[in-house]
This record gives sequence, C-alpha cells and structure tokens, in this order.
Amino acid sequence: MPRELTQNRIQKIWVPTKDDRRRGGAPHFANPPTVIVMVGLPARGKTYMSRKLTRYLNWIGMPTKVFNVGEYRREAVKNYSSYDFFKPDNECAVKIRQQCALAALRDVRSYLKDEGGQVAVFDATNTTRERRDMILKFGEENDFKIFFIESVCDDPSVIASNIMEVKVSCPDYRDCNKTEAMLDFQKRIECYKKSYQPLDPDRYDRDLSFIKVIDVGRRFLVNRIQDHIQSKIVYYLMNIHVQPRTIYLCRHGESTDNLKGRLGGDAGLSPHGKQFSSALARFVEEQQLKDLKVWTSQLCRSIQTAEHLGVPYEQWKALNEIDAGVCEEMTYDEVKEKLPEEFALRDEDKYYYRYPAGESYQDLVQRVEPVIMELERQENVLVICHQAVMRCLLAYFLDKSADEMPYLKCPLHTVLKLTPVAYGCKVESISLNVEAVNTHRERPEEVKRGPGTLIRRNSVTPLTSPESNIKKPRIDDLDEAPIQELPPSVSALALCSPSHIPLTLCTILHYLKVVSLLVFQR
Amino acid sequence: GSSVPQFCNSPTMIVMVGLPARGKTYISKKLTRYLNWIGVPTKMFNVGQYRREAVKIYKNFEFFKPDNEEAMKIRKACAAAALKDVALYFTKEQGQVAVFDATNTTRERRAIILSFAMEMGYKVFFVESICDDPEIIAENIKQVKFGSPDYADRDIDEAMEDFIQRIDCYRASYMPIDDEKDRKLSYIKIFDVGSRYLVNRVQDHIQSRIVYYLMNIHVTPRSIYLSRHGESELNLLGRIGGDTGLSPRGQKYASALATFIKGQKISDLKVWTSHMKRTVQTAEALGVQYEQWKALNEIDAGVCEELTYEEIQENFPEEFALRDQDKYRYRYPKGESYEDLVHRLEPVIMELERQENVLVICHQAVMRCLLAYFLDKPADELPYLRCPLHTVLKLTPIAYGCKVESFFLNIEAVNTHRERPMNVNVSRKTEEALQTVPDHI
Repeated sequence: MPRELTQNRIQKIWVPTKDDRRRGGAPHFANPPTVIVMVGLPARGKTYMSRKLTRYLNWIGMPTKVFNVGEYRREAVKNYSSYDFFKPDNECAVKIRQQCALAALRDVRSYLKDEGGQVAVFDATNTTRERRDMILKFGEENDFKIFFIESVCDDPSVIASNIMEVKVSCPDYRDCNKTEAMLDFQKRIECYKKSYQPLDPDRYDRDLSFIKVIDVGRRFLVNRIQDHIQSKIVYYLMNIHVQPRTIYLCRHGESTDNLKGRLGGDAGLSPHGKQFSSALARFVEEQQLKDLKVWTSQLCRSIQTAEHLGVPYEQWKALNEIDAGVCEEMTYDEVKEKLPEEFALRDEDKYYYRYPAGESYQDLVQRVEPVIMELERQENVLVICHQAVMRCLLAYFLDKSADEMPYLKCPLHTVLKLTPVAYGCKVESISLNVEAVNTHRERPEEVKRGPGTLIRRNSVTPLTSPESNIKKPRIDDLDEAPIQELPPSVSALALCSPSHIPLTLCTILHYLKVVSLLVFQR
Repeated sequence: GSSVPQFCNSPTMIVMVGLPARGKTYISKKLTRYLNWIGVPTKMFNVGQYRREAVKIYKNFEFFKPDNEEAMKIRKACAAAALKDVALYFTKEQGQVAVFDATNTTRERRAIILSFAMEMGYKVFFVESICDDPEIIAENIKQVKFGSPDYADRDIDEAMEDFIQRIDCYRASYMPIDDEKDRKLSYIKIFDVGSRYLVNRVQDHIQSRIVYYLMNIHVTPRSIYLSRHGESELNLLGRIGGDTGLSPRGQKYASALATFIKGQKISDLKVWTSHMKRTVQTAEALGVQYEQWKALNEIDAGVCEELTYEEIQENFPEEFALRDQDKYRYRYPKGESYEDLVHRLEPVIMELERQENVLVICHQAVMRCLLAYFLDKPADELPYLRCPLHTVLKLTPIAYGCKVESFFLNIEAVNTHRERPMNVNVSRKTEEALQTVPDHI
C-alpha cells in the first residue's frame, strides 16, 4: 500500500504522513562529506578562494566551514616575530605547525561527523607531498572525499598586490610598518619555495581529484571530478574573478501597490516611484562608471524604473519578486484575516515558509543562483529588483544566514553599493532622498530563533560561514592566571623542545605562552 | 525577449580539434543540441559531409594520405566552403554559434580559421579531444564509423582496417594545441573522454556554459526513463494545473509502474519527482527512495490554473488564441511559458547528464521539454510532442543520438493532448477554438 501523504504546513512539500523531517527544496547531492584542500605558496589567493567558496556553498545550502591553519598557528604562537618561524630548519616551529595542522584536521572530522557539516575547506599551504599524503590518509580513514584546489601564480605584481591587500594588515604584522611587513612576507614565501611540490597530473597525482587555478583564473587544469558538488565548485571557481568592480542593488521605485500595502502583483510606479527613477538616473551618471550593465526583473515596476535611466538593460525572469501564490495582491491585513494560519506560519519560519501555490525564500535562492553566477562573471552591474530578491542577493554578498535573510533591511529608494575588498565586501547604503512607504516587517517578538534552523543537511539553507571555533578556549588548563617568572635557563630550554618533553599541543602551548611573554616582551 | 538575457554579442565559432574517432562529431552534435535547446541558435558544419558531396565515392584511406595533392586540394576547398557557409549562417540566418567539426589537426589549418574569424569579427573557441586508449578508439569506430556512408558496402573488418590507416595519415602532421605557442587562444582540451580537462582563457558567458556542459557529460551506457504522474483527479475533469492526487486508475498506473521498473532490472536507479502531489504519489508506489525537484513542477498556468479549456475560451478567448499562435513563447498571464520552462529545467538536464540510470516522474509540458532536449526537437514542435498518460518512454543514448522505446502500461487514462486547431485567429468562433479539445467528464 502506498503511504499516505500530507503537505507539510510550512514548506508545502508532500511527505509521507509519518515522516515530519524538514525537507529540502532541491535534491540532496552530497553523500560522503568532502574536504576541499587548498594548495599553494603564500599569497596565492588560497584564503580568498576558501572564504568565497565557503560563502557560496553555504548560500546554496551546503553546510561548509573553513579551517585556516594559520589561525591555529596564531592561537598557538601568540606573537609572531619574523619569517624565521617558517624556516624549514626551525625544528621547533615545524613541530608546532604540524600540530596545528593535526588540530585543524581533528576539528574537520568533528565538523563533518558530529556537527552536520557537509564540506570542510582545509586552508593551508599543503605544498609538500608528505603533507598531502597525510591528508589523503585522513580522508580514507574517515570516508571523506578529498578535492584539491591548487593556486599557481608567478606574476610578481599579483603577489605584491595580494600581500598589500591582506597580509600587511594581518595580526602577524600588527606592530610593523608596511615595508617591513612586505619584506618579511616575501622572505616567508621563500621558505616554502624549496620544498614546494606542485600537484603532478601526469604521474604522482594523476588519480587525485583536483583543479589547478593558474594565473588567477586565466587557465585551469581539472582532473577527475567525482561528483555533483565538485562539478559545481569547478564551475564557480571558473566564473569568479578579481577585477575591481562595483555591484549596485536597489529595488524598483515605489509602486502603486506599495502605496496600498499590497503584496506582489505587477503594478506600475507611483509618482514618488517615478521621482526615484529620475534620481537613480542622476545617481548612476554621477558614479561615472565605465560599462555599467543594468538588469531588471520582468515585472513592470522594475522595468519602468530602468526605463528612466535611458540606457540598455537586460530583463531576467529569475529576478521577479517572490510569488505570494494565493496571497498575491492582498494586503498583510487581508492575509491575516483570510488566512490567519498561513500568516502565523510565515512568521514562525519565514525562510522556509512557502505561500500556498507560491514560493519560499528557499525557492528564491535556487531561482536566483544563475543570476549570482552571472554577477560573478560581470564587472559593474546595477540590479533593479524587489524586496525578497534583494534580500537573497544581499545575503549572498554579505554572508548572512537563512535565519537573517528574510529580515535584512532593503528599503525602497535606497541603493546599496557593494565593493569587494580584501576577503569580503564593503557596503555603502545610499538613500536617494525620495519619500517612500516602508515595506519592512520586523521579526515578531514572540518568534524565537532556534539553532535548529541553521544547521540542516539535505536542504537549501544559507548559513553564515561559521566562525572559526578556535576563538573559544580549547584547552582547559590554559587560563588567564598571571605567568610566573621563569629563570632564563628554563626559557632557553623550552625554545627547542627536546624529545623528552611530551609533545602534546597542550604542553607546547603552555611553554610557548610562558616563553613568549618573557622573550618577546621588549 | 525571453526569460533570460541573451548573452551573446559577437557570433562564436567552436572549432573541434583531434584525430579521427576521438568523439569530435559526438561532442559537436551534443553541444549543438544543448545550445539550441537553451535558446542559442547553433549549427554544426561537418567538413566530412562537404567532402562526401565533392567526392561522391570514397575508395579507401589513400584519399587521406598527406602526399595526395589532388585530394589535398579538394579537402582545402571543402573547408573553405564550410567556412563560407558559417559566414552565411551568421549573417543571413541569425545564427549565434557555429560548430566547425573537422580534424583541424595542423597549426596551418587553425591559423586559416583564426584569420577568417578575426576578419569577420567572430570569437573562436577550440575544443580539442585527446585520447590514446585503443579500446575507446576501437569502440568509437564500431559505434559510428561502420554506419558511415564511406563504408556502406564494406564488411566490418575491412572497414576497421581502412579506418585505422586513415587515422595514421593524420598522425604524422598532428600538432595539438600548444600550451606555450597557443597561450592567447581560448580553448578546452578534453583528455581521455573527460578524465581531465585543460581550460584556457574563457572569454565570456557562452564559453563558460559550454565548458560546464562539456565537463558534465559522459559516455557511460545508461537509460533515462520519462513518465508522467498517474492520471489525476483534475485530469479526469479536463482541468489544467492544480495540485490534486491520483484517480483510482492513476493509482493502478503507479503500481504498474513499480512492476515495470522491477522488470527492467536496472542497477542503481535514481527516481526524481516534482513537488506536486500527483508525482510524489506515483513515486510512493515504487517503494524506493526518490528526490523531489521543484524545477520539475508543471507549467504554471497563472490565471488559467484549474480551468477547463472550455472555461479558458469563455473567460480569456484572446489569450487562448494567442497561445495557439505561438504555444512555445506564449506565457499565461501571471504564469509561465514553455520557454520559461526550458530555463527552469536546465539544471535538471545538467544533472541528468551527470547521472546514469534515472526515472523522472513529471508532467505533460515538462516531459515535452525534456523529450525535446533528448530528441533534438525544435521550439515549434516541442509543445505538441505526444506524452500521453500511463506511458513510459525509455531513452538510451546510441551513436550520435538517442533510441526511444515507448511502453504503454495498459491502464486506461484520459487523453490530455490538444492539437493545434486550424483557426488560431483571435476572431475565431468558439467551436473553432475548441475543435481539438480532448474528451473529459
């Protein structure tokens, strides 16, 4: 007998009555968890790619987290002194670095096995075969798929630019000036060069799955893609670029439906909406951009707004506002009156909630993904869209979770100017000073934000890329109590850990904390 | 306009490169089919066909010997004729992409193509297929060369022997695209049927999509089963759209489908449904795991949801006529068009390409879109493809195309297929509009 089906109340997905699990809007494709392993000399964009990829994967609903070994090292060795730390003959440091990598891998395992993670990005140089073989073994032992991303670049101007953008201001160099930092970092890179063994597609590494990104995306070598998620990762990496550019997001001008407080529909602009459109035209001109692409949805109010700009624009059906189904063109009051249960359900879980015969934010993310992919390819773009759609796009650029997305503030008549900078995105909010109604509904007080909403396997649920978990104390006996003075002889001993001192990370950290305070305090 | 911006500005030439039997024509045809389906007008130009036109009878491999001056002249002329036709396709027929399918194995030949393209303002993207696995080559030869007009009256062993010598004629002068010398060109090198790819200088959106597509297709034998949900309650009433459950006969079909699938003895079958109750109910009867795709939902009929054709004619006679005028592009008010459906379904197609054995339980309009992709049907035929209820279509890739087998599972169902009526004018009479509406309760 076929099982009874019910439509779950929030997502409107048909499931066997007995099975009440939260479902995905899209098929679930990741089976064994995947570890993405970055490979490359310092300043080759590994962390940039790690973080961007993680943001993208989380946005499309694949729980992903970056494990940056450099951060573990900064935890372990509180004060960075100089590139000497990275010299291959600095045995003490080599041991610490090894322990940091192992600690990070332990956290990877924990994330993928116990915390609902699907993809872990292991961000480190991983430049030797020895290190990579160790990681492959780790993957085998735990049934994780391994996918390498190697960044190869020898253009000195690109390297120098990377160093200026992200290294010079990093915690390692907080007490140095820019020139000192640049010089030290370059010597740091030299430390790795001798032992660097790039991935070898012809012999040693021919059975591994990897992509080599050469010269910032001019060229790619792709070997043995195993599955759907690796294919998507490759496609994403091949579409992103690092050219400076600006993305402008705004909504259509105020519409006549906005004035009446009606949802959805396909109304035209109100008088204020038209004013905004003219103001937008002036604003765009003032920005003096070369080659601005303008995109709209296929709804009247968005197109009318673009028309005022007097430039060519492209229409995307994918940018249409969220379909409110049976609630289209009702006011919120009418919805509350005619469909009180639906109204309540939406407030309960605004991200997953699908309007009857309509869409949810979760559906929107899927719908809007090709727009994001094309935005990555493009340079200067102005996107004239709608409240819910703009929230989805903004959540992608600013790494906001599913929980936050439906409540992001995207008021009418305001342009958000997004500029990529370092590892993230600078946002400027520019109000064009034309009055408009407020269409923003805050999260109702009574609705609690459950952690359950955030981590969800098998579904399209944007998550904010998780914070590094090494910020919280990981080792219990390392407390903030004042460190006693040690006689210099003891400190000298601690600097080169002889083999009879137990090599647990705990002990090393303890000694180093003591030592660093004494030795590096000037 | 369409639902997605058209990203092509300059026309693009995709230039195949590789020794014979490396899958160039296979890739050319598949890529052309895909690009046309997503709405990018594309045409293939196979130089071998031009040669067969010029030299009516193929004798043997000696035609391809590098020292055969007369043959060389003919082959050069054929390539030039093909290039001329490419230019005509772009200028006179609004083509966007031309796939230039030939060996193009010498730098000299590629230089000619590049200078032609530069002169005409076309972009060039090379697709090189490199493979040295003798088993794969032999299999390719068996699959497609034996059936070629060149070998029509030869037996298999003769044909194989001749073809291998033909390949050798090209080998001496073959210069693969060079990583150093050709570093300014845009290309993808495909190694060993997709085990590895080298991608250089992707210039634009369409090249990026082409690369993504090429990296997702495979040649492992498999079958794709397409079926609609079992007959639904609304089907019985002649109403379109909605989200009702199965009728009693629909339930019977679901069981029959389960039996059929078991009988096919398929290894590792994936089952996909839409988010609508009728497809999910149908899959439930199979007793196996299935995945729901919102992208597989039936076309949204907007204001016409749950109406009968008679009611549509009564309430929206003009819309009804407009739909008959251009059923592919026509979008229901507040709803979708077939054209919108194709864009919605593209990720499904991409994943179908990655997968192996799959059963897709979907809906009439959706199934027509998917079928049009597999069988290379143009936009004007797509909305009229026959996809009756209670019938499974089994698609198996073979040679350059797709074999289709149709299985009617012997459970009666209403007919939901409406042919294009003779009069599509907005001024037509009601009887003329309803001429082709199938019977219902």
